[in-house]
Amino acid sequence: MKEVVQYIIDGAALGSLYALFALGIGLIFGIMNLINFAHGELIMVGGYVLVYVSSPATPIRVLVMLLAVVVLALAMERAAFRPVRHARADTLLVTSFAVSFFLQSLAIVTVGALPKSAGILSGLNESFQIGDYAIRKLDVFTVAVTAVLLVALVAFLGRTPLGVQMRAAAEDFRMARALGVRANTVVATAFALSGFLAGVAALILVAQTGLVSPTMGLAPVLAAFIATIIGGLGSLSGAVLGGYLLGSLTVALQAMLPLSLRPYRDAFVFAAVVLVLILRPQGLISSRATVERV
Amino acid sequence: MTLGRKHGKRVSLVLLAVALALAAAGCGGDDGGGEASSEEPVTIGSAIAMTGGLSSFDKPALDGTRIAIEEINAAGGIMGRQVKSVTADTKSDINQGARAGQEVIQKGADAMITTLDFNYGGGAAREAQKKGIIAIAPGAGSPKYGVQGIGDMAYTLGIAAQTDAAVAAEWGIEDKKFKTAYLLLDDITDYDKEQCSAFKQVWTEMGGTILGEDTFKNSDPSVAAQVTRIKGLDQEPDLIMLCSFPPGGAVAVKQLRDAGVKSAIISNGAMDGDYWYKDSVPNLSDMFYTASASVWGDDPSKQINDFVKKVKAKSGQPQAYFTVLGYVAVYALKTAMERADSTEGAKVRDEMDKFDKENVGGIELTFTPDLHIDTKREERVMEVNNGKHRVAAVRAAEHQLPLFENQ
Repeated sequence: MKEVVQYIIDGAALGSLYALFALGIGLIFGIMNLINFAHGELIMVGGYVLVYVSSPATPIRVLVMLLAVVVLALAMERAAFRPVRHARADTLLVTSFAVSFFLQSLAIVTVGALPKSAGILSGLNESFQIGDYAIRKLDVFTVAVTAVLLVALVAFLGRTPLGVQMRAAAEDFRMARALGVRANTVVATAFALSGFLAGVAALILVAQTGLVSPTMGLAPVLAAFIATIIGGLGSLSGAVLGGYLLGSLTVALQAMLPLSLRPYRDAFVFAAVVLVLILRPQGLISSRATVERV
Repeated sequence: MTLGRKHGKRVSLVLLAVALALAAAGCGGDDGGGEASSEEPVTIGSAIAMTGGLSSFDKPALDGTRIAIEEINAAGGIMGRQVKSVTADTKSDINQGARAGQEVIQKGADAMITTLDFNYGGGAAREAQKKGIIAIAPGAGSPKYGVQGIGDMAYTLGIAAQTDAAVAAEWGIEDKKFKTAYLLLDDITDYDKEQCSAFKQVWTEMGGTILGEDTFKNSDPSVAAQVTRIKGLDQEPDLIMLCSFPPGGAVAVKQLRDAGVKSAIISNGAMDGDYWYKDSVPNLSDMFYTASASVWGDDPSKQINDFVKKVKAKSGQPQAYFTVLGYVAVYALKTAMERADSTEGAKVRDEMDKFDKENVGGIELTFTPDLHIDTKREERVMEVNNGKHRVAAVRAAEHQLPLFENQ
């Protein structure tokens, strides 16, 4: 019984992390119909900035890192995605792959392929003792931060002028522009927010794993992609739901599968994903983004 | 207006003389010519990853190779001939292996050193096999890198998973008097799977108990569920056999220690180095792994400690013992070539096949005509205590498990 509670906490923590990843991807998709596979490299760059900024004050390291990742996201949009903004979806996809490979290769050339250890928020590695249960502080932090960011994002999109413009652009880009919404501003804002989310994800990932490597963005972006697909492309709450489902399912299968089947855990997870998509191809929470644009 | 007949003949004689003189000058020069002379260098070709992800392993091995060549040349060379190093870049691309192998052969390689992996180094090694020259991998852990998988010209200085596992289990039971163990397997490579399977076999044969086992993936950002399972056991295992490598293995160690798991953890040589825990678990303790040599200044062999000092002066503290194996590879070739009194591949091979605990560059090598991987080597069981490395034990595997499926 004690383990079950612990597994639930493990699932919630992993789910929150995946939800963070998925939000970053979902935001961009909502505005541009682009799955930004270079999102993983935003996380990777965030991780390396944390390693190389060695200021003793943690808030400074975090702030510098968030700034760097947001700047990179804006640069990515300006240099790579703006020129192809109105191209076909597959062009956008290939562009995002190109940016991803480029950044990974750049990292290998500049800092080397070996992983590097990194220490941040190490105080969070301890646990709260609540009766019989030891709850890791980092897990609580992850769930709390994700919840706060989600609330803030919803408030931003619902209440601020810029947020409303972003939602309008997501619904009908051309009409929004006709009504005076500045396309460049909206897209840049989306990327900046996505960068911020990637930075927070990098912080948690590095605190949790203690490691950075040039390919550390690959697993997160894959998880994010799957989470947004099952949650419903174009829906932010879908992205979050997908993230929690994916994280919880992964932990649950790891805990419950017999040993001989456990190496195939991911195959079972993906089988479940396929099942969801067969039953609801548009994802669990549908949005207008997946309706054919005439 | 043509030249007069007599004038023309004189000119053509002069031209002929000039041509012959040039030809003579050209022939006398460098390695292009077919004549063997005692002045001709012995060329060692490194067909390795100079760029890309694998260069983090191959370039330290090349550093070791070059230092060995410098030392040998300073002491008179091989059979009186200077040793030369040539390289070709595989760019960490498995499809570029054969091309890189051909390139060093064209550059005159008398022997080849490849990427330290059966799959990534096999392409170049097969070219060496075709040409009839020795190919050495400074650390491929697969027995397939040898007679069975490539041919009789291929040798690996690595250690098989079964050997590593036997050393780990024997050390745990005999040296540390541990009773219980737990297997944590990163099933991404055959090496990891073979290591955990062999460890389980030897551990139970020696009377130890396995409390349980679990698997994870190298790319998992979280092994929380696996850690929870360990914490749920009735008793904490004395030893956790971690069959993995960074980054996955590093994440597992950190998350185990974060969760308060105090068991000793043992892994294989891929966990050498302090780069993977220096900032994340700076006081790491009770972490062990098997290695062919210690690059931390306290190896039992003085030659290796001196070598490590040279590497440190050149490029800083080595992060893996593969650099020692790149050094040993050259000394192995030197020993075999001098005994054969020839650089001819088949003769060198025959001498290498006679190595029986042959001390080469500080490590003892054993090969037979059937087995080009060393199962008798004295491994160092390395310990990380409070973030610092030291040699905890020196042991050779007593249990010799079958390396191939049909054995």
